[in-house]
Amino acid sequence: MHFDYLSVLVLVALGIGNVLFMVALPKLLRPSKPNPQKLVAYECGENPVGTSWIQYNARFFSVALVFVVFDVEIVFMFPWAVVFKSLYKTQGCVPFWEMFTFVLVLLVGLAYLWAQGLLEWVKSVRKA
Amino acid sequence: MLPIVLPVDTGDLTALGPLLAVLIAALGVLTVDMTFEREEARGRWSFIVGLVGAGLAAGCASLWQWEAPGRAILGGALYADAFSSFFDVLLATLLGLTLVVSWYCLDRVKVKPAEFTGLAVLSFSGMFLMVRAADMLTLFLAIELMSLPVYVLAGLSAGSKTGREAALKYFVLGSLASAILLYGMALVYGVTASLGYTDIAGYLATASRESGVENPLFLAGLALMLVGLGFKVAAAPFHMWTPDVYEGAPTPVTTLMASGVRAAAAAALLRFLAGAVLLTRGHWMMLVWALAALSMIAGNVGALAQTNVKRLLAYSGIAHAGYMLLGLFALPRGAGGFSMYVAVYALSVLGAFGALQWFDDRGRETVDIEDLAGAGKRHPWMASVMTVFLLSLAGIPPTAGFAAKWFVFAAAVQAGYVGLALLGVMTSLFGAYYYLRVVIAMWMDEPADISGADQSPTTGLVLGLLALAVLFIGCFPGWLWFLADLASSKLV
Amino acid sequence: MTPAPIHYLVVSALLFTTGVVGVLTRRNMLVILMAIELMLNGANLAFVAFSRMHHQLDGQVVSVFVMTVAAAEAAIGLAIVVQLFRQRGTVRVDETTLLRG
Repeated sequence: MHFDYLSVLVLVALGIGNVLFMVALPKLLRPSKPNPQKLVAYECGENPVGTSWIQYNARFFSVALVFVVFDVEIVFMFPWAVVFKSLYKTQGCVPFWEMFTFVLVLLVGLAYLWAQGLLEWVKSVRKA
Repeated sequence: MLPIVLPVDTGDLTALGPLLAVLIAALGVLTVDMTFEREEARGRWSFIVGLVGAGLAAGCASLWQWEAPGRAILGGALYADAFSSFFDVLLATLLGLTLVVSWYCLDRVKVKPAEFTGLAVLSFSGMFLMVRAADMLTLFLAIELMSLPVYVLAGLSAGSKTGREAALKYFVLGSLASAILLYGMALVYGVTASLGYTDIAGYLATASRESGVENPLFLAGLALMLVGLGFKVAAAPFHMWTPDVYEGAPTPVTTLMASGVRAAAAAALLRFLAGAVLLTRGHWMMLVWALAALSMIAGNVGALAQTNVKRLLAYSGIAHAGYMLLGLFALPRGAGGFSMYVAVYALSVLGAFGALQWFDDRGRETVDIEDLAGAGKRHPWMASVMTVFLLSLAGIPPTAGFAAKWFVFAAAVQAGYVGLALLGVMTSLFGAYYYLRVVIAMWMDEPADISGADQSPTTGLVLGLLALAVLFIGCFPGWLWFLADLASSKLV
Repeated sequence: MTPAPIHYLVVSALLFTTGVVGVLTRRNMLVILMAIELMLNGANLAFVAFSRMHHQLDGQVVSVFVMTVAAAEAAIGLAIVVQLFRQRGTVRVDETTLLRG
């Protein structure tokens, strides 16, 4: 009974080993001729400016807040979707309208955010 | 097992009327806030929508057949009974009054009327849900639906120094209390294997003492739940947040916190204790005894030293939580006294804070007793109204507060808790001192610079009518007692 | 070894206690928010474990609802913290001392 998780352990070991192998093999095989252009983070992209420890724009923050709130509501829809078919046989359209009401309430909230300008990246000041 | 098939019939929907009215009003306020261009129109229309919601809720609730036996609806999630109708009427009244008395003050405390109305109505929809919660999940959701808007409301005032700090304190301690309540629920669920109040009571009735009422896990869960609910009704020793938050929040928000939130939390507490765990009396009574005694002492002693009227009313609210809890000792008879006390306290404290808003001409967060000095000479009409509310809170005879105290104390004495009732009488005598201090400052002292710029006749008229109602209940308490008893005695 | 419900309950109690201690002792508002989430999730775990123990679904339903409540609570808490930070320039609760109890 103590070997129940052995397969997981083997999988983890294989995963780590695979990554190490994939990194080590080219290191051994390839020639090493670095130059500054090669060493930048995105060789074909824009040159990075400054360090990665910068403050993010506060806009990310409010969008993330809104995202979290609306994102979590999907948790109610999964169980509903799973049992919908069997509910439909006994209850008809009632479960559909229940979820419709739920989504409608969410939509009013979303519309409110929109009207308040919280979905705009550059917040436009609303006329008072 | 939760039933997969949800029973929805029209009868259930009518019983849900008040709740639905307020919920739809909350969505309506949001819609109104999006629709109108001008700030002023948005404020006015959201106010109207909120008032209509309150009116519809009160109308639906009073249509309830009060003699009808209560029943569980929506798969056992909610009760439809006279108790919820009683509190529906009370909460709808409180919602309407809160909106009206705060209306002119909102400008002064720099809160947008539309936002205040929306959040207040949303919070009240949580309260309407709370008084009819029939299982622990609904109770938790209702408490959160009530609390979250109030956290925001406390910090809504633009440019207020203390409002955001009050919001932070209220949020941290409120979330702590909610989490403790939830863990208590988890333990109770673990022991009884059910979330519904009726099922919990059924389990406790049939289980042996060791696996039921004397199960340490169950008692621990119950204690944790009492901590969480005690926080919401601001009973000592979970009261520390009250004075700070009441002082720091804008006065309209304090009005809502002191009346609506407290009333709904008290109703939910009664419903849970009476409906789910009454059978374990011998054990939880000790806890409630301690809560009641501590609240009466801590509240009254704390209030003595206060010079700020909002803090004073906050401490007095803690003491009142103690008096309310007295009613729990004489179940089922005391339940009526409890409900009546909650109603009378909520109306009186709403009136007191409403009058305070009327006097507070500059929208300051703090109003000291000296600021009210001489109010009787400048605004005799409003000062008399304020005096009535303060006397009612103090429990002095011709007012409703006295009648409510009388019923609660009498029920406790009849149930044999003479010591606690004596403590209640003594502390309320003690308490009369600090209310009278405010009254004396208003009528005896020389006028201070507070002028009461809010000369709006509407607010004055509404508060005057409320004061008359408080006096009327004080002179003829019988009908309210009858209704409260009718509503509450079937809970057990 | 298959974990029994009691193991989950011990973990949930540990999570909850860590959360309580965190809320009471930490001074950084963001850490307090995380501690509150820990408490809620401790309760969630207890609900799911009991639900499994009783062979019911009720407890799992509770945990689904609690997750959404926790998200809403976190959003509101963060919003309050941001507002306070804009005003005071700090997220430490011991530096907000205008109101004293």
